[in-house]
Amino acid sequence: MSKTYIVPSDINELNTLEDKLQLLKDIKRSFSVYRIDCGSCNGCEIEIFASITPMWDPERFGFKLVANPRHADILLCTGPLTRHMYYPLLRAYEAAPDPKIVIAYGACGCTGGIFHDSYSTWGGIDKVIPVDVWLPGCPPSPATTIFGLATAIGVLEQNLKRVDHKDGGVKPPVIEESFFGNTLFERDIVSKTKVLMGYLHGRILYKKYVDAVKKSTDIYNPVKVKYELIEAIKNESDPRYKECMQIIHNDVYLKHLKTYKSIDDTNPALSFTKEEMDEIYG
Amino acid sequence: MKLLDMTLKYGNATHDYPFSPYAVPEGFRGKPEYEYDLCIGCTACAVACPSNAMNVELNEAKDKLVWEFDCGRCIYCGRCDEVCPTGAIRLGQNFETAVRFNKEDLIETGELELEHCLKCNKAFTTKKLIAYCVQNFLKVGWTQEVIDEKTKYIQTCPECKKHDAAGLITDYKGARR
Amino acid sequence: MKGDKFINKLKEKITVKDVSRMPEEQITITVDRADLPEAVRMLYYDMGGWLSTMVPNDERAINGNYVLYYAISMEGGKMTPEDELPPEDKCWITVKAYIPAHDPTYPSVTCKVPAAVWYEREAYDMFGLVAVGLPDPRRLMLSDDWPDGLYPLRKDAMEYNYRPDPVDHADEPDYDFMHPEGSGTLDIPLGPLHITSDEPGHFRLYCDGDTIIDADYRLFYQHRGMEKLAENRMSYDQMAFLAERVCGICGYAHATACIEAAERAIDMEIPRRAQAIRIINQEIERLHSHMLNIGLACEVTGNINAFMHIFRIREYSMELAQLVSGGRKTYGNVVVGGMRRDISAKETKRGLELLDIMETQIKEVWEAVMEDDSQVSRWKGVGILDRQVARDFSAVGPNIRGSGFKRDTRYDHPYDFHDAIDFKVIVEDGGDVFARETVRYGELLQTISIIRQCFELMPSGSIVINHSKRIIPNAFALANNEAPRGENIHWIQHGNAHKVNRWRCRAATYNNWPSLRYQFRGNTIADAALIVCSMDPCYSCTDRTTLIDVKTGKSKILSHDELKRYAQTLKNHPMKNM
Repeated sequence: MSKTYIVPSDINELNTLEDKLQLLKDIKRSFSVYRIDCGSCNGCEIEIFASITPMWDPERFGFKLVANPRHADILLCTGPLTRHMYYPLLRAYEAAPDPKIVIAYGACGCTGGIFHDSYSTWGGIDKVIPVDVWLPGCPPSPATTIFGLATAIGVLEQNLKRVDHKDGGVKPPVIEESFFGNTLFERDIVSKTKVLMGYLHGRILYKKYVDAVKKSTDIYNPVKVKYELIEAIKNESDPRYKECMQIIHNDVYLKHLKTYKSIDDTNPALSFTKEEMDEIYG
Repeated sequence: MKLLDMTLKYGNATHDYPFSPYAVPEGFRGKPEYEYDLCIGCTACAVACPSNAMNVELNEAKDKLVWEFDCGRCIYCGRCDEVCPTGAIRLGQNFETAVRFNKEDLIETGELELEHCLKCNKAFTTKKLIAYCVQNFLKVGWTQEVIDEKTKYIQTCPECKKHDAAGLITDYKGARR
Repeated sequence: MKGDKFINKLKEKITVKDVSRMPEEQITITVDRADLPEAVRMLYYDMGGWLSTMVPNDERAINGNYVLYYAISMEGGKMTPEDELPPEDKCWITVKAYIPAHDPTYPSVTCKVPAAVWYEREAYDMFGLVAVGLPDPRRLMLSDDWPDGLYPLRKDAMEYNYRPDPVDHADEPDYDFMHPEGSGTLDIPLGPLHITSDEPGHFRLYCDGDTIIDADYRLFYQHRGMEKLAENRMSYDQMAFLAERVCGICGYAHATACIEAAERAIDMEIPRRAQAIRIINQEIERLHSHMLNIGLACEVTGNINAFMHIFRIREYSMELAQLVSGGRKTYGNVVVGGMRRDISAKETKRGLELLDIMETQIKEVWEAVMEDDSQVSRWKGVGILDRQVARDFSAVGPNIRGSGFKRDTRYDHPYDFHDAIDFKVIVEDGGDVFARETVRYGELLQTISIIRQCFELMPSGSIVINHSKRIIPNAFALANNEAPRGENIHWIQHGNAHKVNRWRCRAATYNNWPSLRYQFRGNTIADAALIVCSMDPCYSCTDRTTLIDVKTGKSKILSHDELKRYAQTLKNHPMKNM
């Protein structure tokens, strides 16, 4: 991609870092923001809107939306900068008084986000005009927005720093010994928990299930394992987890046990029956 | 006037943030946190990431694999968290992600040692990934013969596997239980 | 079989070359391109169809032709209560026509069915297919500086990340706006940059004094090339996240519609629990979106107090969204075959509490707003959507339900868990802003009841299927989804290697925009913002307004604030009676 826009020298001269810091010092806790939608999906607009309502009230530290770029100290740009918004953005940028602070808002504004290499976008505001503050998020939540604005005017300090990890060696993380004698058992539980409750709740479910089963003195004895599970289910307050622990026992544990010894998995002493399953929802 | 009554009834709704800390709710999808020691360089996250915020590439000298995360491009979908086999990437609770004047601050990288192909000696994956897989082989109850066979298989680069497909497949199949 | 009676009737006048069904209720018929306008007209007007979407496709690699698919939803004309098909007859009929690659033209359907106008303009932009006789052949989607003769969605046109150089911004090309004949009209350009939470869009209002006599608009400032992006860079696992970013307000409806189209094309049945969770998420989205719109309709007319209250209540819906998905705005939990995040019983309990809070408070605010005569009179009689216009342009969502049509895709073509749920389609007869907002309020209460039912009836079991089905190359299907703004239609044709060959996304507002022009006519400039707002495409308002008197050539620049002040104080000022 060729250089799309060259900032005119008169604007450049008035927008050095010192000028900008001076501006921030001057405006202190009263600043006017002009919002430019450069083709965002609206998610960012909504969150900006949500964050200027009384719930978050950025007027506490002087935030004010203005109607015209000529009134603005800060330009808040959202969206990956579509081809179509290129010209309006430049008009607004040149119209804003110098020095000006440009905030790239949201993942799209910062780098183009998910649209970063599409034919119809330029892949971020900073590909075309100089940007001072990057505010990532898709969309940034109101708390992130407030933090970003506070960072922009210097009320808060930024938290992130570039991190480069090096020389981590060649030793991989240690895989825990399987309590069943075969890690395929753990693998199958992980995959079952994911199918049942998704990746996030599934992990909690995994922990709950494994903790319960580990309490059993003999992992290969289905009656004892079932007993421990019933105890765990009694102590569990969430019916959804109760139900899923039963399903894992029937579908994964008993299946794996069969590779070790022959059992009758329809025997109600070993597996959970339909009645037991219905019971938990009362 | 009724609206004013409502205002009185429900009172002040404003959060104190940023003047006092803001606790994000449980299950909030915040910035992905990277645990370098756990990363084995399997590139699952880079393949899954819809916005290409995570990338895995060779460095300039072509002697290290570099995992790179650009927070500015992240869409917080949590796919990396979902696919990471070792838990090196987990969505955290951090929402204070803005940076000022230096975009580089949004970037996080991790360098990983490269493994070379047994046949052509070309670098093709990380040492950690191979060691992790071998470690896994030891825990699934296979015989030593099978483990050796499989270890050799994974230490061959895809290119060589393609060229020598027939040979490898017979080797591999013969070694199956 | 379903739909046979329509096809038999069609066969009396037209040669139908081929009929195929995949899935069951989506029938594809092939006709000659010369018969296309008549076939679509017969289905649309004679048999009670509505144009759901039109998909141009480059199938030169498959069969050597370009192909057009006009998807028509058969549900009855609905002009009278009796004029509706029984549920067992409702289906989609897709009229397919091949267009040879050496002669990419076809007779325009728009002359007979006006609803096709935007679709045919888009087909030219993206594929270079010329609709002969199209009354309005201007550029629709691509930016004005896009090179002529480069059609991005043709498979062989260019790389998906090819970006032609822009021209210098001082020489920005102009768009050719339609201008009414005669002199003495004021030409008011609005946008594309707006102040309030607003997407960019450029409006030209043509006024006689204070009254709008006609309007034209230039949209697609946000054209981001998503369809090409998905076809090239993405796998199905990633596409849902892209689809979610079609729109930041009703993105979830797009994500599910997109994934469901992919699922239906290979006849994949997802677990009931996953269906229920999808419905819950969609309805939460409707909650916050409708509250947003009602709030803005208050704000545009100067009732800031009500606006702030509604936004305060709206935060509960955001909390609910965060509870079930981990994100306020982007839920990111749909995958092909089900869901990737479950709802635990603890979360369900908290969700029910939040619903109760919202229900009481929404009722309180609405009562207060309704008691405010000045607010109500500002909404009544403004921006009337004529019933015939609505019928001609296949409008959707609260927009058409406010004009007395019982048209809701959850009711016409039930999907997912909706067959287990009771809900009422809210219909109002006024056709004005007031009717549309009342529909939204009624739907808010319905939505709360739907979420409650889903929480209570949520089936047990898994949330995603085990991977057993494979993608069938070239299989296609469309999926429907009632987004807050109306029916979303996604059409997907599978490609090879877990990728999509063609993804056509038709957002609800796409069907509503063409009729906006008619809603403007006869209203005052001050109400323009309100009319746009009540249609809920984006939010209200205008930024820099130039009033140009055509006769004298004098111009005056109004700032947004001035215009907004004008909009807020023109008549029935909300504070007047207080």
